[in-house]
Amino acid sequence: MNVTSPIAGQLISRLVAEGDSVAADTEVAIVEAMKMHIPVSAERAGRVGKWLVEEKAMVAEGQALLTLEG
Amino acid sequence: MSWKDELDDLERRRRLALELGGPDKVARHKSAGKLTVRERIAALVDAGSFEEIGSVAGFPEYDEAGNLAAFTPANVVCGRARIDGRTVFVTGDDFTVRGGANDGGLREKFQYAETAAKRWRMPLVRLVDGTGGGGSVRHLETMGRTYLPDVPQFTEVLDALSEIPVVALGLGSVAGMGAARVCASHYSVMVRGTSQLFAAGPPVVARTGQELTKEELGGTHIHVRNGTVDDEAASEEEAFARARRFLSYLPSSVHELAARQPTNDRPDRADESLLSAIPRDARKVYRMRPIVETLVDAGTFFEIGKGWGKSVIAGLARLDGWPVAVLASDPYHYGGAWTADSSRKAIRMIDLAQTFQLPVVHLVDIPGFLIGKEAEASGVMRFGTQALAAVRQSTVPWCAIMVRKAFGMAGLTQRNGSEAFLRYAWPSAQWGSLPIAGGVEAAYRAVIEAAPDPAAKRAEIESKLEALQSPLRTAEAFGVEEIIDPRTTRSYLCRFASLAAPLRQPGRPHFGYRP
Repeated sequence: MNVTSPIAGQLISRLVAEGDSVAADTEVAIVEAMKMHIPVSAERAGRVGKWLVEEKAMVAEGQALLTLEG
Repeated sequence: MSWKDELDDLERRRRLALELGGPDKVARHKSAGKLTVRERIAALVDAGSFEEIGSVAGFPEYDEAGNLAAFTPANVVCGRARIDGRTVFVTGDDFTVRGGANDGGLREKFQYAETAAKRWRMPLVRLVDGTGGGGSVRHLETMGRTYLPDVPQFTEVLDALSEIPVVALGLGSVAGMGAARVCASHYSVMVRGTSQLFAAGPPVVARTGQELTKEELGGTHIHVRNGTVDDEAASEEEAFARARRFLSYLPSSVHELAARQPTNDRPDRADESLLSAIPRDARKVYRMRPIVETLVDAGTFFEIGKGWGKSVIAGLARLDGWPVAVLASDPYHYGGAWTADSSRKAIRMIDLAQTFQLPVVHLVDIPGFLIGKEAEASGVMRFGTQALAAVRQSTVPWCAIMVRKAFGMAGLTQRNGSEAFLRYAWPSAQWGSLPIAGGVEAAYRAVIEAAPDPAAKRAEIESKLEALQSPLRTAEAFGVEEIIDPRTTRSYLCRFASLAAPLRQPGRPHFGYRP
C-alpha cells in the first residue's frame, strides 16, 4: 500500500529512508500547505519500499508519496 | 370465581413472545455475533428497569376451537426504561422475525414506538436491526396493488429531533427506512464488522454492475469517514455505553435544561504545560486533544465524529459540572482549515448545542477555509457558509479561546449570534482578514518589483507587518476583550459555564433540527 498526501502542497521533507521499518502512526513526511508544516503518517506498520516524490516537489491531495511493504 | 384463567392466557402469550422468531432463527442470529433485541435492551438500560409496552402484540394462530395454536411476536420490542436513573423510551427491531422488516411488524406498534418518546418528552434510543419499510416485493402480490411511498409518522419522527434527544444504534445490516432511522438522530453509532448501512443492499446494487459485499458497500469504514454515522464501536456493549454517555450530557427534552453534576475537579486548576503547548513557529503543528482534555473537567470530554471532518474536533464535556459543547481545531489536518466536511460536522454540533441549550466552547486555530482545486470541487464555500449561518443563528452562550490563527471568513466562527459571548486570546494568537505571507505579494507588488533586491524588500515588509500582528496591539484597541495566561484558561472557562447556565432558554429551537 502507499502512503498518500492528505493535502495538496509541497513535500518539504522526507522523514524516513527506503528500507526503514516504521510503526503505525509514524510521521514519514512533512507537506507544507495552508502555510503550515503538516505531518504525514503511515496508517499501518511496514517497511518503506520506494519514495515516489522528490523533496520540494508539489503534490496533489491523495497523491502517493511512498510505498509501504510488508 | 376469578380472572385467573385469563391471566394465565396472557402469561402464556408473553412467554411465547419471549421466544422471538423461534430457537432456530435466534441461534442463527447469535451465531452471527449479535445479541437478540431483548438482550440488547437488558444490556442498555438500568437493571430491571424495562417496562414493556405491547408485550403480546403479534401474529397469533388459532385452532378451530378458538384456542391459541401458535404465536409470532411483532418484530418491534419497545417500552420505557431507565438509563442512569432517568426515564427513556427504547425501541428495538427484532431481526429474528422477518429480518426486522416492516411486514413482520404491526403498523400501530411501530407508530407508537417511534412517537411515544416525543409525546412523553423523554429521550429515545433506537436499536435498529432491520431492512426497509416495504419489506419484500412479494407484498405486491398479497396486496394486489401498490401505493405511494409514505410513512405518515415520519413527519413526527423527524419533528421529534426538535423536541427530545434521539440516539440510534445500527446493530445489523440496515437498509432503506432502517438506514434512515439510524440517520434521523442526534447521535448514531454502528458496530464494526456486524453493522452495515445503505440505501439498498448488495443484491439490488449488483443490478447496477457493482458486485460488492455488505461490508464493502456500507461498513463502518465507509460511514464514519463520510459522517453518515457519528461513531463506530467495537462491540454492541460499547455502542450501548456510548449511547448512555451521550445522553448523560443532555436534558430529557428541549423543555428542560441539562443538569449540573458534582465534580471533584477544581475550577481554578492551572496547567503548566499550556504555557508551551503552542509552538512559537506558526508553521508547526501541535496536539489539540490534550489541550481540550486538560481544560474540561477531568475525564468528561466525549468526542463525537472523530473519523471525519478531521480539522474540527467536536464533542461534549463538562466545565465545573455544567455540560457544554466543544469545538476545537486540529492543525494536524489541513492546518486546522475548515473543509466542506468539517463545516458539516461543525454544523451538526452547533445545531445540537442550540437545540438542547448547551453553551459552546470553541478553541480556535483556523487559517481559513481550505483553499485549492479539490477544496473548490468539494463545495467548501457553500458548506462553509452554511456553517457560518449555523454559528451566527445559534444564540446559546459562546466562549472562544483564540489559541492561534483566525483568518478570513472561517475566522468568523470565533463568535456566534448570541450577545453573551466571551473571547480570550492566548499570546500565541494571530488573526486578520488575510495571512501576511500570501497578502504581501498582492498588496505590495509594485514596491517589491521596483526594489533593487525584491526578495529582501519582501522580507522587510513581511517582518514589519508581523510586528503589527501581535494580539497585544488588537487588545490595545479593544479588538479582543482579554489576553490571558494559557495556564489559567480552565478557570475562565468554568466561570463562563457558570455565567452561561442561567442564560440558557428551554423550548423548541427557532429552526427545525435537520439530521
